[in-house]
Formats: sequence, structure tokens, C-alpha cells
Amino acid sequence: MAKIVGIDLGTTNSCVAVMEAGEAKVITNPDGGRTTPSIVAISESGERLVGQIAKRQAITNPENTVFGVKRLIGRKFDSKEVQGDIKILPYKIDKAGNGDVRVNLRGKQYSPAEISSFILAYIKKYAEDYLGEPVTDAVITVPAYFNDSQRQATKDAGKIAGLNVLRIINEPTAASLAYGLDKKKEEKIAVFDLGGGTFDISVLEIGDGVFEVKSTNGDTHLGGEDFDLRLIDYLADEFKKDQGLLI
Amino acid sequence: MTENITEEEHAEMTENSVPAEKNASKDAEEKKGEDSQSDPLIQKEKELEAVREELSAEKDRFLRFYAEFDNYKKRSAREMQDFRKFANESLIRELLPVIDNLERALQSAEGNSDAQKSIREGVGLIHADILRIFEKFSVKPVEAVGQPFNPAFHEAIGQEESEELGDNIVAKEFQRGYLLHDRLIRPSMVIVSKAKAKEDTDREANENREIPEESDNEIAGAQDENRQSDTQ
Repeated sequence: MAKIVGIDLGTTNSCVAVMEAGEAKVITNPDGGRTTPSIVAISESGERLVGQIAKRQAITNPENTVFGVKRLIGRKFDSKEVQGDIKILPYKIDKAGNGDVRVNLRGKQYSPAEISSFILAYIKKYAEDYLGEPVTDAVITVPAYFNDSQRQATKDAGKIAGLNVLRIINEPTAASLAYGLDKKKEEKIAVFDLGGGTFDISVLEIGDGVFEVKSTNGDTHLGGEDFDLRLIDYLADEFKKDQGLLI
Repeated sequence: MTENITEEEHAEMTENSVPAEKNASKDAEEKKGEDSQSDPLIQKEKELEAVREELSAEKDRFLRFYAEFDNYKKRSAREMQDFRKFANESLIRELLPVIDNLERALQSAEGNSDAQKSIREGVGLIHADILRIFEKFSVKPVEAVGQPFNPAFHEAIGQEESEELGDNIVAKEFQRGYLLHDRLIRPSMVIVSKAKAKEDTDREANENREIPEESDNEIAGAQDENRQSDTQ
């Protein structure tokens, strides 16, 4: 029986799960990790690297290592968000003929959907290795605030990766489904989503298996990685105070 | 591929075949009332046909279930094998910092006094002992310093210009990496060398690279397809 996988295509990390005996089971990647960094790099030899391996070489190849492409997907080059992110992203971003964003890696242009498709294809591959059968159908989650163009681009990414995207669902909806909240009575809930690079909150109204996102907000540049950096800075400072050494 | 048949299809197949069989026998009964004396042979033949149909549906169902079961068996055998192979992983991972500390102890005991020498000797023996045990359980340190930087095993934490090493060679190792069987359980944390005047070589590399345009077309194609399916 061909399985349908559920993919959380995150800004910082991505994750894939499959229903096994009525429960969602996270499929681990070849490194044994339950999440995979949403990072794609092209090495000097032209090899495409995805996930943990791309992350490990990022510092040696910053211009050709793409992270956080979810911040760009389905957006226009001239939009406020893209213009803001260009300043902090180390890789080259060009404007496409139709006003879309193109990521420039070693002289070749890629659409954000293509970059995302590399992540999806990698995930698809290791899910297939685990299941021992081809994976063709998938459900992909997107932030509740994604507009039509961002949803469409995410769907395109799936298609390029060889996946038949059955449904694009909102991340807070997926989270409430995972907690079985659809089976309870009519109610209003808040979903907090603290990711690696973003922090979202959504208020949902649930009733009769219908999820309605009433409102959504958050900080698109705050997440677990920022906490990590703060901790590292703190420890380095303390060490400097103690030992007088700069690390 | 038999293993890819969905359960719905199973259900459909059996559902279709069972009523067909029931109808057949019902028809047969009605006919029995109408012209019972006519031909019991035809009636039996009809019954037999229905039973045959049912049998072939059941046979099919059995084969599909068996294929599914076989897949499951293979998967769980592989999982079991993997589980055995990597069962020690978390324990080993926790022990790695202990080895790191032994290595640090060895480094800090550098010197020529008798006390330092005997510490080095003692700690060195313990260190070698642990590594030997690790090796018995297929844990191997990752080679790093002097090797070409390979992100499959090494994690770059910095870069350093170096004329003698050139580009992309591991110059320093801050933490040793380890493999369990063929799986990396901890990457080496390394500083990677960078040749001086790197910009020129970069530009050359870029100039030599072609820029294929198929990627854009591919996406446009995907979008078109999507639009079509949306309008349908």
C-alpha cells in the first residue's frame, strides 16, 4: 500500500512523518536525525549538498549555501520582506524577469521553489529508503499567513521533487490535528509554534472537523537558533571574564 | 507492483465479488422455482462459476496481503538489524567527551618532568584502552588534519588562510569526530584552510561554468500544470 507522507517544510529545519498503525511516525534521516536542516549548497565541484552535510560546510562556502529560502518563496523581489532579508543573507539574490526572486549559486539561477524542491527530494529519498517503496503522495504544511502565491510555489516545489502534493495545510491546523483537537467539541485554541528561525502564534476556531484560522501573528526572525547564539555569546563572555581569553 | 495496492482496492475487489456471487446464487434459486425440472446441471454449473469467482478473488486478496506482509517482514528485519547495529550509539556518544578529556589531559601534561611523564604514560594507556574497546564495537575516529575538507565527516567552524596548505584542507581539529559502523555519530570540528588570493580562482571557476536555462522552464511548466488542475 503506497504511503502518503506528511512534510513540515520549515524555515530552518524540515521533518517527514508517515502514519503507522494509526500514529504519526517521524522518519529519521541517514544521520539518524529526526529533523533535517533546510539548507542546500553547491560545492566547488558542482555537487549538490542538502541537509546536515550542507550545514557543516556552510562557513567555508557561504555564498553558495542557501538557508531560510522559505523566507523568499512565492514573494516578489521588490517586496519589503525580500529587500529586508537580502541585507542579512550571505548568498546572492537576483530579480527574475517576472519580478520573482532567483537565488544565484555559482552563476546558475534557481527559483526558491527549486531550492525547496532539493530539500523535498532529499527527504523523499530517505523516506523511500525507510519504507522500502516509492513515495509519490505528500501533504506539505505552510504557515497560516502564507498567501496564494506562496502556497502555489510550495506546491510547485513538491512537483519538481516528484511529489504529488495532495494538500497544502496550515501548520497550526496540522499541530492541532496531531493533538486530536478535531475530535473534541467546538472550541477556540491558540497554537504557539517556536521554530528554529521563526515564532508564530495562531488562534483557531475548531468545530465539526473544520479549522478556521481567526488570526495569526509572530516574529519572523526569532527562533531557537537565536537562543543558541545568545547562549554561546553568554558563555564566551563569561569565559573571557574568567580566563581573560577570547574565544 | 503488487505491494502498492491500497486497502480500498482490496475492499472494492472483495465487495464486488461477494455480491456478484450472492446475486448469482439468488438468480439460481429463482430459476429453480421457475423451471426446476429443466436442468439441474446448468444450475450447478452456475453455482460452480460463482464459487470459482469467489475463489479467484480470495486468491488475489491473499496474494496481495502476502506481498504486503512480506514487505513488512523485510522492513522490520532491517529495522531490527539497524537497531542492533546502532543500539550502543547513545552510550558511545555520551562517552566521547570522556575521551576528549583524556586527550586534553595528555596535552596539558606536556613537559619533561618525571611527574608529567608518568601522567602521560598512565593516561595514554587508559586512552589507548578505551579506543581499543571502541574499535571492537566498530567505533572509529575520523581522520581530519591534513585531509581534504569533507562535510560528510567534518564540520567547519572556521577558516584560516594558509599558503602551504592551499584551499579546502583541514588545518586544525578542535574536536575529534567518530564513526559507528558507517554512520557518523559526531563530526570532527575543524578549521579549514583557504588559499590566499582566492577571489581570482573563484571568478575563473564561475566563468567556466555554463548557465543552463532549463530550470526556469521546468518551473513554468509545473506552474502551468498546476493552474490546469486548479481550474478543473
